[in-house]
Amino acid sequence: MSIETDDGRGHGHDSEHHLPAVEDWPKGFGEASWWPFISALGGSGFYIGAALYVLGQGQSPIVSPVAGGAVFVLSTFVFLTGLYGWLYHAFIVDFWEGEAADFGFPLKLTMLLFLATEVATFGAGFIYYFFIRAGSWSDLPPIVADGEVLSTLVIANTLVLIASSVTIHYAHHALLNGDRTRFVRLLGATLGLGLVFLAGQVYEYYEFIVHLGFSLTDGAYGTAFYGLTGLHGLHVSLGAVLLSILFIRALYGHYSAEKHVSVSTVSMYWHFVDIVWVFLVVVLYVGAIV
Amino acid sequence: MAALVGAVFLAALGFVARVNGWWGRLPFVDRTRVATDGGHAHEPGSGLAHKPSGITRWLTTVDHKDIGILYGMYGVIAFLWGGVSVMIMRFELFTAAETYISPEMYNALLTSHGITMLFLFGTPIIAAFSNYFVPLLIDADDMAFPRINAIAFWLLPPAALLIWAGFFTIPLDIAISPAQTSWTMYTPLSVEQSNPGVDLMLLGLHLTGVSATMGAINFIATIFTERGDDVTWANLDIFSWTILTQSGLILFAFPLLGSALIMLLLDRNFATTFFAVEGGGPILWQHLFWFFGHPEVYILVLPMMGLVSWILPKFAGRKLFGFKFVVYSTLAIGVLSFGVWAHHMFGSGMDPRIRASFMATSLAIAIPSAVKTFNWITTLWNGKVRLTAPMLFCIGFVANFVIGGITGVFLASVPVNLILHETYYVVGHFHYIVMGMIAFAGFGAIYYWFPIVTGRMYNRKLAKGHFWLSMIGVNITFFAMLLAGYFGMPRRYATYSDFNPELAPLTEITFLHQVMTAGAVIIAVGTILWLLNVVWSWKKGGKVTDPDPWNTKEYGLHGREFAWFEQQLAATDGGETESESAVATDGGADGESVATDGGSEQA
Amino acid sequence: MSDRIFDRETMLDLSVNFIPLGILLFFVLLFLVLAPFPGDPLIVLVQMSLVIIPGIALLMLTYYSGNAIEGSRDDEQAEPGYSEADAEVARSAGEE
Ligand code: HEM
Ligand SMILES: [Cu+2]
Repeated sequence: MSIETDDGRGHGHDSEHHLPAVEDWPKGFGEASWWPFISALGGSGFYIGAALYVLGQGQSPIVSPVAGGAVFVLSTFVFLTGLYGWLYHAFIVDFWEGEAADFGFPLKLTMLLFLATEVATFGAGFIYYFFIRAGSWSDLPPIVADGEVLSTLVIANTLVLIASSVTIHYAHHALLNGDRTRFVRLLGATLGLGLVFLAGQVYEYYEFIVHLGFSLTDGAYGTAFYGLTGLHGLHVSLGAVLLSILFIRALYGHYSAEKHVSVSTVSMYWHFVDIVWVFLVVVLYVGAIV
Repeated sequence: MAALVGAVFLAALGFVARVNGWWGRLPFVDRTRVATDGGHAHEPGSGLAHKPSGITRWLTTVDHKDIGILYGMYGVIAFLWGGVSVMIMRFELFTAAETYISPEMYNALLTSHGITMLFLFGTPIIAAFSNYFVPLLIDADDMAFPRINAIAFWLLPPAALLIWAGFFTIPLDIAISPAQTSWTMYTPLSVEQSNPGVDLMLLGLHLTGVSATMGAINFIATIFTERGDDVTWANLDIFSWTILTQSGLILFAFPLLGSALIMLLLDRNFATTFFAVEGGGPILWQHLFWFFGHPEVYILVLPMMGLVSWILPKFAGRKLFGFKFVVYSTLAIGVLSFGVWAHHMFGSGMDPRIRASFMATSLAIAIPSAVKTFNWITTLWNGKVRLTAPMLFCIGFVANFVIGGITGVFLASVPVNLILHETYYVVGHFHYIVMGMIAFAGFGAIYYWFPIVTGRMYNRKLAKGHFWLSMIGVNITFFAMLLAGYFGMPRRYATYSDFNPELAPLTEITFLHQVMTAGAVIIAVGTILWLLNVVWSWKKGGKVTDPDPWNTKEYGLHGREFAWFEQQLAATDGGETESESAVATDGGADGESVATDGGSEQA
Repeated sequence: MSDRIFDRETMLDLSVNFIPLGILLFFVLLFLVLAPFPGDPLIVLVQMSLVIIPGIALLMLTYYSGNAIEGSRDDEQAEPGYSEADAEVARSAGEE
């Protein structure tokens, strides 16, 4: 078949060329790699898992109720393996041979584009909230009626998250000024504050659900509240994972005033998540009781 | 949406932030060609040796050209299923009463047809062209993120399995049946259908959205950062411009749909109130859906306009008239398409003042569309028109757009809309566009680039037969739909025997439906010709040895992709076994070696 | 307003987007003059923003893209989509 020959021709650059990934598993194919396929398999596995979960619900489940969860866990494993293999072979393996070059622009641009999609992702949820807020706005759960939703816990948590935005900003600055110790410390502080925020959120959910009996299905506001804070919580968790990676790599001394693009991109993400939270508090917590 | 795209991108970005061994050694680092995700794909001469063979090659490839071919295959398979499902429906509609299939089956096919054609054929077939050709046209080595590119593709097959799951399970006789929500998935219907087939479809759709979003980010990054030294914003080609704009639309449209789909899933499975009457209400779904849905139609049509703007001048023997007009009006369409969504909801009881606003923006968006049409016509005017198969499809595209566009403007005017809404007129309008333009441009581009992708030439007689059957079939079928709409035939009905004759005269309507079915058969025959032609010519067509099979050099219109093709031919010269005696550039298939696909010139 | 920023030729290119802008402006004025419904400030606000926001977005995009395109214009450049080397081939071929 002619496809076989067609595409092997490749681009016309004739020069000595090194493989993108120095090694690959199970063996290097030059440009080709199994990792994208494996990652995609894991990624779609989440959806298959969710589908099986749905099929496992109800009076007469079509598949075993545990199937969904099992596939989901398995997929997580496959997905992470895919990502790890990819990143390991593409970047880590010969990390120390690296030299500095500036390719911050495409990556920062990409982060910016990703954040644009996030605006739309969050947008849909907020639009729902505005609909109910501007609509009938009745049947409110007691915590809204007596203003309990805006607790000191939330305010403290908000301050924690804002503080973490400040610390990551100065961490980056310290790195650019060549002050590695300060950088590592501030980064660690950011991660810590992020985790405190998450713990605070979990505690708030616990209070609301167990003690105040306010849950996801508690009318239109319950849906908005858990939908939006849940979505945001997922983002903070992802951010915490990223910060942990940054932190570990910072401990290994991977960053310097010249090599700091992932610090910039993660910090862009973290600021974004922070801004969304402030907006969320203003409209969802404060906005509900004024 | 966030979870998956996020994890992939962020993980990649997080790690990538410094230089790695192979970077510094790359020959073109000085040109700041950077491989941002470790998957740089560009193979010098020794390329073949590096590619694994057999199926492994396709599963592991990160080469934008291979991925383009994969997208193409995927799109074609989806197109065939979409076609089969609609043919079953058309045969059912041949008579007014219920004959072959149940109304439930009809609804299921209707849903699958719409979803398949828009999400599994439309978006991927565009990705096929853009993956293969944008890097060539902007002189990039590959996409900015070749591996993310591969991931984006491989998410699609599982998505299709989920979307079609309801059909696969029919023989198993378990409690999953195909969704009957129509492609718009309006609530409360889509919440109330307890069939888990709907959930599977929603999950699959979400996955296609993730894939499209990853692709869009990749294209924007590629066009911004990977252009060759002599490609600037001022001389970026029109196809890349439309892909850039389209990607910008995807960036906001698909994630928003993704959230809306998740909200629908939560409503279905966790008793939330997003679209319940006590919550956001059904109207919220309509707003969110169409805020995605209208940009989606431009997501599909803009790149196709780009293809026509690129190919049509080649056979008109002159440059695209008013190139900058086309660029700016593309951008204008991109922006305005987010401001017109509620023209799909004029009948849903909005405040008349707000309806008037949407009418205003809808009329405004018609201008840049019309500008493009005038540019194409002016390009043809006095040009040396050569009626090759790609050119025929381009001209058909323009002609169909005139009807599709004008009917759209009519629909955008509130009083007309209130009469024609939910009738076959609407179906006619958008099929002139989706079939008459999107599919046409796709066919034209396939013929035009066939030599590059396959190294062979298609059979030009079959290709012309394909065009004429398609053109005639489209205009019979969809014009009959416009008429049926005037007669008041409502859309989405499996039978029409018990309508009030005052509202919809049965004889005329039945006749029109039979005409539509006949037209659809003509289209189907044309499509089969196309399929046979492509499959056969890919294996057996005459080899293309002339790097300029369309004689574009003669007119000073030789594009970068063919310049690249020329390099390839030169590089592999002698390397490839030339067992088949290389016939001239076309028609090798039918023995006549006429230059360039019947290049009959008309002054 | 942007007259001084862009030269005449560029303004001509950009004029294609002034037409939809003009239509939007026309409707804004029309809505201001013709308001047959009893005034409800919220609805009027929504009505106006739905036309004005796309208008502003279009204006901004036109401005920035105009800047980017004109900023990189160079008369020596190859035509859009045509490689430099090839443009020469084409030129000499055309002369024959
Ligand atoms: C010239 C600009 C256009 C205008 C003013 C326009 C206007 C409209 C209007 C007002 C409707 C709603 C009809 C109704 O349901 O009552 C409509 C439906 C539709 N249009 Fe267009 N249109 C235009 C171009 C396009 C293009 C370029 C596409 C596709 C690429 C397209 C695809 C559709 C589709 C798919 C529907 C039907 C959606 C559904 O209800 O299922 N239109 N159009
Ligand atoms: Cu529309």
